[in-house]
Amino acid sequence: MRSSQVWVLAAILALIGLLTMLYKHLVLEFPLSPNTTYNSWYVEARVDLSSTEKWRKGDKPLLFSMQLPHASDRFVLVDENIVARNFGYEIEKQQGDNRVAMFSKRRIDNQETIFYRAIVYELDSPTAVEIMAPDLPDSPYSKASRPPVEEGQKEQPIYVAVDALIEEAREKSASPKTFVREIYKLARNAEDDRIQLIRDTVDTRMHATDIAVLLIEAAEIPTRIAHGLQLTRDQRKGQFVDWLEVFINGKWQAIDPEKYTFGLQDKYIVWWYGNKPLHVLEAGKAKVESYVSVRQNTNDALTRAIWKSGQGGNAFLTLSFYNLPLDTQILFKVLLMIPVGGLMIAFLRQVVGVKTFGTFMPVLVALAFRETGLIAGLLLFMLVVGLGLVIRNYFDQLKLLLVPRLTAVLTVVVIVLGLLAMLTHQVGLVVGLSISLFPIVILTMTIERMTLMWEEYGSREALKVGFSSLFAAVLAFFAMNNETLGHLVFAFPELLLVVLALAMLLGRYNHYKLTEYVRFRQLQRSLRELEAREALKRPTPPAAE
Amino acid sequence: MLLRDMREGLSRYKIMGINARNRDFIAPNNRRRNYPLVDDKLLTKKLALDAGIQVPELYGVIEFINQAGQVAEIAAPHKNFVVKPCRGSGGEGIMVIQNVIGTSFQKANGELVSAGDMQYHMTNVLGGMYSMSGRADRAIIEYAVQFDPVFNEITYQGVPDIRIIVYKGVPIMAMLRLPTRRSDGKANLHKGGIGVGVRMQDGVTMYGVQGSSFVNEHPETLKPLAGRTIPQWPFLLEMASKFYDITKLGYVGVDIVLDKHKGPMVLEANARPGIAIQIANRRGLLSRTEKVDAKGDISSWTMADRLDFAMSAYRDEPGADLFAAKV
Repeated sequence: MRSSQVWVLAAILALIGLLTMLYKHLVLEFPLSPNTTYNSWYVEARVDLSSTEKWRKGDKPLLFSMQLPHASDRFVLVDENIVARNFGYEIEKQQGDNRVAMFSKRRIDNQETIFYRAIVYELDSPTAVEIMAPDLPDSPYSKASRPPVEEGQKEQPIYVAVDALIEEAREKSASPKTFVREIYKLARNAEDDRIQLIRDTVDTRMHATDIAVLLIEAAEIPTRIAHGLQLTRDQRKGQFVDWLEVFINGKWQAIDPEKYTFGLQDKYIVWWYGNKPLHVLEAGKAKVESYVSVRQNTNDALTRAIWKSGQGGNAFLTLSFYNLPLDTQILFKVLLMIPVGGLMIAFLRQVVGVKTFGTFMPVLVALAFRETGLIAGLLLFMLVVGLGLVIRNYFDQLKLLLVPRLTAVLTVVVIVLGLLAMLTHQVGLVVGLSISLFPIVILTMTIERMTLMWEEYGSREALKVGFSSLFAAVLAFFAMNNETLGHLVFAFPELLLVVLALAMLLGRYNHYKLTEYVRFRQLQRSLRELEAREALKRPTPPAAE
Repeated sequence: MLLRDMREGLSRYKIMGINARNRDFIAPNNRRRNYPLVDDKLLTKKLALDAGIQVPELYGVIEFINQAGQVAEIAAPHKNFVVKPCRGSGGEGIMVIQNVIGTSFQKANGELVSAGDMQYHMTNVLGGMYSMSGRADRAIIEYAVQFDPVFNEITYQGVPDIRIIVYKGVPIMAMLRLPTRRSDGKANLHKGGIGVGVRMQDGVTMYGVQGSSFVNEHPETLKPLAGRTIPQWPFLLEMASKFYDITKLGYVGVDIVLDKHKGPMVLEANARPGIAIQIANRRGLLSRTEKVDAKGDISSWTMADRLDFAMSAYRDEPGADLFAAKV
């Protein structure tokens, strides 16, 4: 009775899930597999505004500007859209080809959020884009625009420094390119008295790049600072990359600050040029914060269809994760995989018979592995748990009470993670940040459980369960990190109903675990022998009369 | 080879797996609200006493951290005693004290436990380190069983006990559990104790198992395990069967010890008894439960009916004739 109920319910759930998926695939043309060539990206800038003080009559209306990304010969902006409820806005062209969105609002009371979204296509081969020759820079430090030196007076020290630096670079160089390179090298030498003088006179916060710009412009070569994003992986809070471009030989060329080489910049999508920040509060009072995020666009055709259909389209299109803000989308991409990992663990425990410390510990560890990478994650896990075991053992000798001892171990785990982050940073590895995502409490409980098991059942059993937990975590990692699976669950969240159905069926599984076949193997053999012996004992049946 | 065994399957021999135990036996027969009756050892003790079943005498309970140092005080009139967590499982956190020397305690294996170590052990017990689900617990101090010398030849430091599985009131399988050096005086199988199958009709010991391998002799004393008769067998079966009446748990394991002076007493009961008992008995549990189920509704059975069934139904199983009781 109970059994048939489960089967019927599971069948209904699975059917709903699969039929919805089929409909979305056949009618709405949701693709079943992710794009393998990632040449399309979502980029999103999100601006949070909050009032800093209560609005009073007579306060100025709020006006602020935000830079928008540039199309280039390499990147095409396919679909842009701004979500700014209650704001008026217009897009202006500003100096340096920048596109700036100006947002205005009479008053701001609480929290407001503005989104800018775009799909960016990366072209396989750059298209020719007409390049306008820029105006010559108008530098206050160039010879032409300086105030003339009065008779008997010395030239101001800053001009002397600028001239000396330009002169030195000219002497060492043979072409505009090499000249810029030498300037750049000089600007990076913070020890140089002349560089220090410039910094002290103009702005103490100047970076080497700013000084290089000042010098190059003083030599009347057009130059600009660009800010862009690298489109190589998903980023929830993206970091802008800054670089310097110089106009030489009729082309804007980017300088590689490491190798001092020049080239056409094609790694980054340019967001804006110049030394303004991303957003500027032009008038009014508010706290403005902005984030940019990037996500691989795995469904070019699909997302465009969804965005174009807008409101009032098909319910399946409206009720889709693709309509959520990008950073939420990235979050859900991870969240949706957790049930898949859970199902994996349920299978491993019920059907295979793998023992683990804590039921879902392997899922959480697998989540952490997604951030650190598998090998680094495994090493980290073993290192932290190993150290934790040693320290837990020492705390035991101090005879601490249970809960404070757990807290102490927890603290040690955090310290160990912190030290590891610092050390790896020193060595130049980038695991630093991802370490922080390690499930600290889970690690602590693992250490505690493992110590108990070590004491009660010996090292062999403890290590065995420890490694089988890791094994389960690695399997869960592969399941949860599978691209096709990730795409399927994200594009077809109704598949979670199928996961639910499978979990229910596993819950009714009453057959042997695989490990039990090994455990009872000897018993099985001896029962077979006993049976054979019994058969021999029995008198042969009398022949039919 | 393993594949061939797997194809033949374990169900052919009616072996019970963990999943089947949980889903088909524990879930339908053991009501969750009756679990505390066996999970809480103080409650079990009280119920057993009310039903006239003998249990080890309770010396005292330690409930609060500030009492952690009172072990010696409570145990003062008694040279030997046992300290155990009230809600512990699998024999964890149990300490058998043989002697009090000055302020120290001597364990069954001769090891000394200082007063400080004992106090620390108490705080761990009270903190819930050994309790199921990890919640705060109490510590019980009780009479240490002076075990009957009948199993002296096959016991190493500790108390042997007899686990009887009771299904719907009928004892269906039993096992003698023997401590070894590896199990630190404890009789639990997963700690390295030996399990010896027991013939249901007369309480004669049969095959032995340690860990997952078959053994015929006790590894320390080197004496054969088979052919020994458990004294007062029918009375033991009756004690176990009564546990069904007082706990209403339809699938329960009852652990009984034999005391030199006071006779059989129940140590504890378990609502989730392990399945290794099948290896010690060379018999699948499902073959035993099937015979009970074949009788239909047995709720009206008297104690005599149940014992009668338990001691006769499994008489003709293959291999049961291989063992003879030693005289």
